[in-house]
Amino acid sequence: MKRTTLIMILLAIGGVALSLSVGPMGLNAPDQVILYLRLPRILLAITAGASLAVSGCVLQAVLRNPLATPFTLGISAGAGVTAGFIILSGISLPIYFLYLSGTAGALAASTLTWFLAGRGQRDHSGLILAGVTVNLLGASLLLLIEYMSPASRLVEIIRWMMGDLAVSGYRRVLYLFPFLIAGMVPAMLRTGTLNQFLTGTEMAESRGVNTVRERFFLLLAAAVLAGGAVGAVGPVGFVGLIVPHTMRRLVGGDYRKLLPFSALGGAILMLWADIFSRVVISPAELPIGVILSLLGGPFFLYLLIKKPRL
Amino acid sequence: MSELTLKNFSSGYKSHEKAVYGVSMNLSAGSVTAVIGPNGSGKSTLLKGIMSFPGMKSEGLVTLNSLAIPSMNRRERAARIAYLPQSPPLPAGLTAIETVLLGRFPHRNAWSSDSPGDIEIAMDALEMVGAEHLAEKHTDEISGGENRLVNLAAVLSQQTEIILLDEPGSSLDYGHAAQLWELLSRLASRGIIILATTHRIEMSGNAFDKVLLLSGGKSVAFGKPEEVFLSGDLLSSVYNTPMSVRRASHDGSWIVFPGDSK
Repeated sequence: MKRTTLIMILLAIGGVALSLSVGPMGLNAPDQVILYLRLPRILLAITAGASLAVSGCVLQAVLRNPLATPFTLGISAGAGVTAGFIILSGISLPIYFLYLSGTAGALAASTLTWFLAGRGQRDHSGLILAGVTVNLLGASLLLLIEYMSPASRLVEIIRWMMGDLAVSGYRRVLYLFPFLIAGMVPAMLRTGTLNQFLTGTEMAESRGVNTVRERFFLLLAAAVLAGGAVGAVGPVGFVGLIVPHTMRRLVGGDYRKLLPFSALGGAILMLWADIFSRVVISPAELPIGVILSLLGGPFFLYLLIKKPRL
Repeated sequence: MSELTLKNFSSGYKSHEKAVYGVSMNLSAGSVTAVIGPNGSGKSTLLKGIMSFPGMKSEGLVTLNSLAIPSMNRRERAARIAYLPQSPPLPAGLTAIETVLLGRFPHRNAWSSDSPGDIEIAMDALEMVGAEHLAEKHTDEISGGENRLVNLAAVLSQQTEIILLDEPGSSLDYGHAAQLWELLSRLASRGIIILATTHRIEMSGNAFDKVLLLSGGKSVAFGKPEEVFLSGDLLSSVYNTPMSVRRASHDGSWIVFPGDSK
């Protein structure tokens, strides 16, 4: 546990230092590049990674399903549809509106999933099935949008769907910040409640948890975290899957430890995936979504084959 | 002294018809009461109704020391009544001791860490069920029966006046089942009210002080075990199979004989 903490702090500090010095201009980059390109990019990676990891971690406890992530619940599909629609429309809007439409789509899709699943009254597989349904619906709508898009816009849509951490200035980080606070604070205050959800609704209820209300708040927090992150960096997947399961192995399943460690782990994963995406075909960049999917696909399979502790 | 009273109490699921009707009984501190009856007779529904879980509706009175249980707030109820469902899911990634510590939840706030006092209570509870050697094992590394004991310890660590248990003896071997009922008797003798459903009269020694017999959602009999077990063909007609119950002369434990063995 102490060793894990130490290694993670070293990985985080090392990641920040490396990320500050990596780029086409390397260490010789002028201060402006470091201050307005690299530093905000690091902050964006950290906040988005922590948000996505905590979102997945919360969902896995509340739904008691190891494969529950923002993406299996239809959030990414929702974000894709609205953001795709904005890009297709070609209206020249401030960039905030693209973020905001991604977030709105993510929240709309998770609300739809929630109602399709009977507002949490039905069993856990009901919610996952509803998520799959919403995902399929979103994916087909996105295909339709892509089909109708002119080539130039199509590239833009596809590029956004692949995830993008490239920033200049702090606007995107500042956009994500309110979502981070609004989702992270209520989740962190409910770590003990999340532990109770692990033993099932009846046990949790018998120990004084208002399961209907708490489930709603926790799902809302997870949706806000994932929605904000998806709006800011695009629908990158698998962070909410890889990080909580890895941390569960390292620090155990007690959410009072697991949730803060997942936040740190998500930040580290995103930070290092971003470094990798910038150096592997330097000076060009690989989209971060591609790297995370290459990591996440096999990990998903691994979880399916080797029964995870959840 | 605590007292659990049901007066003409009915409960059922909001979503479907299955229900239990018109149960009246009075359970006093220090007693073990068994709820028996065929599958689907409403045993679990009765316990869930007493807990007033969301999704349940109820009528009539259910009170703890003349305070209506449905009107208690959740935390207050959780500090006074504990409940063990038939097969609660294994808490993923937790060790046995962490699982037992979950029972301390009603006595503190939602994020605080385990105090030395909490850990002592949890270890005592594990010891009481004879599972202290499992403390550091993960719940997915131990058997179904052992998890049953861990869950029971979690319920004990909640330190309540009433414990409701749904089939606590299922998936326990002869030895552990005997120990379980002995433990429940011991807890009762400390002034706790125990109400447990069971299918296995013969596995429980002579632990019961009272028996409630349910059939088709209705209360058929309530009284001392000898009144319920030995009253003619009552059990045979409720279970729809010839059977007889006798009492062992040396220790008073109950023995069930299938078939016409008169």
